[in-house]
Amino acid sequence: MKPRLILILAGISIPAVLITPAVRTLLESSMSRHMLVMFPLLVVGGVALAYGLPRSFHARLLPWNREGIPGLALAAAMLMTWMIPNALDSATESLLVDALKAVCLVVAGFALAVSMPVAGLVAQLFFVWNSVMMLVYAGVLYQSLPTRLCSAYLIDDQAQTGLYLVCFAVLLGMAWLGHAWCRLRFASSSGPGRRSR
Amino acid sequence: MRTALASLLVVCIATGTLAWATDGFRVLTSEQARRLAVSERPVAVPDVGLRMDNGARQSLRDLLHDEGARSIVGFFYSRCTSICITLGNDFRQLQQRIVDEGLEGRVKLLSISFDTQADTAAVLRDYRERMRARDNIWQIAAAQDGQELAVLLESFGVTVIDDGRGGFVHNSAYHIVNARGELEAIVDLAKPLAALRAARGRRHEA
Repeated sequence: MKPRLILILAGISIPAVLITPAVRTLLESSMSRHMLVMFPLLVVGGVALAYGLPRSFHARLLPWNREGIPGLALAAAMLMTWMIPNALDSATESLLVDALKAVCLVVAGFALAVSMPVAGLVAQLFFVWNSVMMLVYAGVLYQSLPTRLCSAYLIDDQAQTGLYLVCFAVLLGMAWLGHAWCRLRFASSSGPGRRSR
Repeated sequence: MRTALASLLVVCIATGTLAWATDGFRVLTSEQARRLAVSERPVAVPDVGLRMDNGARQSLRDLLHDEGARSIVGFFYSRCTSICITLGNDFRQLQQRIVDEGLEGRVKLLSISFDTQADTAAVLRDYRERMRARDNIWQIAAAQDGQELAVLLESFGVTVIDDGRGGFVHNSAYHIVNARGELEAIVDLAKPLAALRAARGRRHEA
C-alpha cells in the first residue's frame, strides 16, 4: 500500500475509532486523558490526512492560505473552543457534540499541517506563543481553582490535567524552538517559500 | 484576496464556535450555562416517582404541586461528607427563616437523595431527625433507581460521578421550582438567602 494511502486511512480511522462508545468511555472518563490523549490523537489524525493528500492539493490551497495565516487562525480557534469547560462537558454528554469535537480537532490538525510549512517564522511564533500561553494559563487555572470547572470531572483530575497542560506547553515551545533553529540554519540553502517536507 | 476571504471566513467560524461554546460569550462552565438557560426559560421537571422517608411513594410533581408555593430543591446523599453537609446546614437555617418570617405554605424545602442503594427510608428518617426537619416545611426523599434517576438528574442538571472511594462527587445548588413543576432558577450554594428570595418570587441575584 502506498504511504499516502496509509496516511489518509489513518486520518479517517483515528477519529472514527475515537468516537466509538468503548474508546469514548475509556478516554473521556478522565479529564487528563480527554484533553491530553484524545485531543492530540484527533489533531494527529488531521495532520495525517493533510500529509496523505497529494502535493498538487496543497499547491491549490496555497492562494487561499498565504503565509498560513487563515489556517493557523482556524487551528487556534478550534483548539480554544474545545478547551472551554462548557464545551468539554458537552462532549462527554452527547455523541453528536463529541463527533463535532472530533471534526473540529481533525480540521485543526489539517490546518496546522498545511499552514505551518508555508508560514513564516514570525507567523509561526505568533501562533505557537499564543498556544503556549493559552495552555499555561489554563494549566495554572486548573491547578489553582478550588472548584470544579467541569461537572464530569473530579477536582484532583482537574489539577493533574493542569500540571500536564503546563508540561505539554513547555514541550510544545521547545519543539518549535528546535524547528525554528533548523529552519534558520538551513534557510540559506533552500531559499524563500520552500516546502519543509 | 483569496487569503483575505479565507481569513474572513475563519473569523466567522471562530466567532461561531466560540459563541456556541460560551453560550454567546456569557459562560465558561456547564454549570453557568445551565443556570443561565433556566433563568431565561423555566424547564419542566419530569414526573418521576420518589421514595419518601416514611416509606411512601410519591410523584415529584405531586410533591411540588401546592398552589402559590415554591420549593427549594437540593440534591444530596446522606453519607456525603462535603458539599451536602453545607447544603443540609443551610436547609436547616432556611427552615428556621421560613418559620421566623411566616413563610410556611409559601416556601417549601425538598431534599432528594440520589444514593438509591444506601439511602433507605430508615436512613432518611435518621437524616430527618439529625436535621430536625419539620414535616410541613421540609420533605426528604430518595430517587428511584435506573432510568428515572437519570432523567431526574439530567433535568435538574446534576452530574453525579463516582469519587473512586465508594462515595460520589456532584455539583450542588438550590433549585427553585414553582407549583407547576417548572424549574425557574438555580442559585449558587453560597447564597441561601438569594435562594429564599427567589422562592418568595422576588427577583433573585444572578
